[in-house]
Amino acid sequence: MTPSDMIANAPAAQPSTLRLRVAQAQRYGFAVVSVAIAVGASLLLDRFGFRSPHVVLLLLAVALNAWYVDRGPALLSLVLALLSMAYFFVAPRFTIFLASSDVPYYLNFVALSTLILWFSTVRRRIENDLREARDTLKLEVEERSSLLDLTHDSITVRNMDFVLTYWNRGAEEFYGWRRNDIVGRRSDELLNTVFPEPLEQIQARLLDQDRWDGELTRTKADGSVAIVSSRWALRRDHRHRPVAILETSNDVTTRRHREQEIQRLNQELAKQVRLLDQTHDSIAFRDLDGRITYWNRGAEELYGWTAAEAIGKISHDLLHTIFPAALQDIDRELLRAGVWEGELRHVKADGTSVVVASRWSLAREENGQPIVMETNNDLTERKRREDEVQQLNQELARRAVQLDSSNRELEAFAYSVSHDLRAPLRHIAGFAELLQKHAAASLNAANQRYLTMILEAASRMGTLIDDLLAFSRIGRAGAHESVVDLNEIVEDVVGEVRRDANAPNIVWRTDSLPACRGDRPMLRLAFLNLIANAVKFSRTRPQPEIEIGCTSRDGADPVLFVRDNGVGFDMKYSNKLFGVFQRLHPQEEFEGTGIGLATVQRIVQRHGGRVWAEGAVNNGATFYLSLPKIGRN
Amino acid sequence: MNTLGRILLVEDDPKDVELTLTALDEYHLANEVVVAADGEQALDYLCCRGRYAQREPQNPAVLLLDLKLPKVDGLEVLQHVKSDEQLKFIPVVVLTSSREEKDMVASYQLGVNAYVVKPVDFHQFVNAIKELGAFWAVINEPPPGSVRKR
Repeated sequence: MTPSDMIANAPAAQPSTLRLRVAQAQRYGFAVVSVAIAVGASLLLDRFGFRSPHVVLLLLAVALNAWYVDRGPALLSLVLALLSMAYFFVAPRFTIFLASSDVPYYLNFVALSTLILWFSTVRRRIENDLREARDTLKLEVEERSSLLDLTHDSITVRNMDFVLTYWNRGAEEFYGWRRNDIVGRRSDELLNTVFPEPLEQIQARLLDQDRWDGELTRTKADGSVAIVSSRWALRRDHRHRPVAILETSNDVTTRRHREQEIQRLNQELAKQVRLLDQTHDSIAFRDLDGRITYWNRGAEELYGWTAAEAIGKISHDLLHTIFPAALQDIDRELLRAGVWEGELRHVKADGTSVVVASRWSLAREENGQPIVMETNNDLTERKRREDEVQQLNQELARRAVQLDSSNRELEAFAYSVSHDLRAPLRHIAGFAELLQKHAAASLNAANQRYLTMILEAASRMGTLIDDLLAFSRIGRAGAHESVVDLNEIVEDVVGEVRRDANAPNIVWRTDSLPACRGDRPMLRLAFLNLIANAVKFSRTRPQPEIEIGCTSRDGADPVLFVRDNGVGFDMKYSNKLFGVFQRLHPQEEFEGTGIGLATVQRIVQRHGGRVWAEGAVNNGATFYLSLPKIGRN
Repeated sequence: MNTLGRILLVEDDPKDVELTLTALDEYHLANEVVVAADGEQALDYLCCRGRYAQREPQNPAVLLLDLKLPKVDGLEVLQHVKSDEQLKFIPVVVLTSSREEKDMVASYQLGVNAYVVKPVDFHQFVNAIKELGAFWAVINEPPPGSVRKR
């Protein structure tokens, strides 16, 4: 420590007045002692014959005081030096006498001393200024350094070789390395930095623009990976050479992750919105005040309001909703159960009204706001169809009643025919017979013939009535369905027909026939009619042939046929074959009432089948009937 | 043919009555025929009431019954006869124009002894009636308490 340091520090270090006084005394004492030593040394040197040594020595003492101590002691030492010179060294010696010739000598000494004193003062002032400037600078640097440590951002300094030279507290905290551990290491190696572009490009840009910023991925001391937003500035020295890179960076990992998450959620949401738009159901979201926040394409289609028109509107106002209960009750139920379902009536954009099955469910948005999701399905069409079905059902019921009553009328009619028409017929026949019996002798041939005609007519009418009644019974009688083996029926019928027809020369060919579901007596009647017909219309042939068979056994409904080589028929009358009382042959040639094929058709139709015929005049006829196969309803 | 049962013919149509009687006459059965023109008369006769209150309380050997009758129809008569302790042994033959299955079924359910459809053809009709009369009035042994003419 220099004496000036000591002196300069003294007031600050020892502020007490006493100490101040002591220091003052020390300084003035030093002035007295230094002059005394210089006088002593001069006297000694003078004794040994040195010429005027006092000038130099005294000047040295004054200079010492001026340079190292202060102005006050220096002035004291100058005065003492002048007095000592006058007393000890200037003749007359040992007196204080000032000869005029010595005045320049003294003035010279004073001038020299004053010069030294002035130099010293200037030096001291400069020294003080420097010290103050240094202190201020030091304070400033300390302040800045602590400021850098205040921020949570990481601030680092590295040289142009990427070697770290500074690392603030933010960096310590964020990356996890202590300042002392990292100084001297390469930052990109330490942090395993991943740059967004090649490092050469970054450096080129930095040298060109003195700055760079971008996002870096770095690995912390604990191994976790962080994304930081980094800003670099280039520091140059006074010769404009780049010397350091200053970097500040802050953590954006969470933000980036959140952004990625938001992006993912947005994509997810977009997907869901697309899905919601795909459906034809009307879907709308609204907040608890009823304000629409989402409106899908189904809703646009149903109501005719576009999403742009609907969003922001109060749902119930927009649609003029008519509720099945008080809205407060519905809302209460929704809040209690989280869901409400019911039928609503809405008014569309075009003013028409629509009935919907509505389902409300309570959900929460990400920000926790409750929203209502409302799904509406148009019931108008369904309602209309339901009404239609109901009307049709009523119509059906009405027709069923009509049918029932007409059936009853038909039954009464048939009953009446059976009783009341047959009786007079029987009377005609009976009394004509009696007349014939009793008056035969008195009647001529012509009258006899008239009576015979009456009897024949009555008999034929009886047959017609019987056949007609049998025919009407097919329609009225309840069918008793069972599985029927057609082979048995055909065998039975053929046996009966052969007995009655007395036609032993017929060639019979019967195929194997399937079983089917049906009413056995009815089916028997149908085959009886067909086979009896075949016998009847082929009996004029020299060699009658009758074939009974089946086609299309597999898969499709079986088609049965009865074929003969008889007189056949003209296909242009085929539509008349199955009509009641329709006959294609004169009674004299082939007897019959013309009701047999009508009966066949009625039976087959009652079984859900179809009947048709093929034939040619004098070339035989084939009658087909299809019956539903077993297992089909 | 030493005994002849009495026949109660219940028939509203006089023509049918005449034809039936003609047919029965060929077998000489017509004299023992009592004709009732409707169901009520038939029941009056059977129960000996009304105009038949004074008759001898004997049952006919057979009852030939038409179904379609004024006032009380054939099936009602049949039901009454078959549920009456005094009358239920009387053989009842339904003789009708109707071939209706439901009449036939109803008749048999009520316990009819025979069901005959009157043929339109007179010869067949006469034969049917003759055979009926012969069987029920002559060949068949009637239950006790029936009128038998010796």
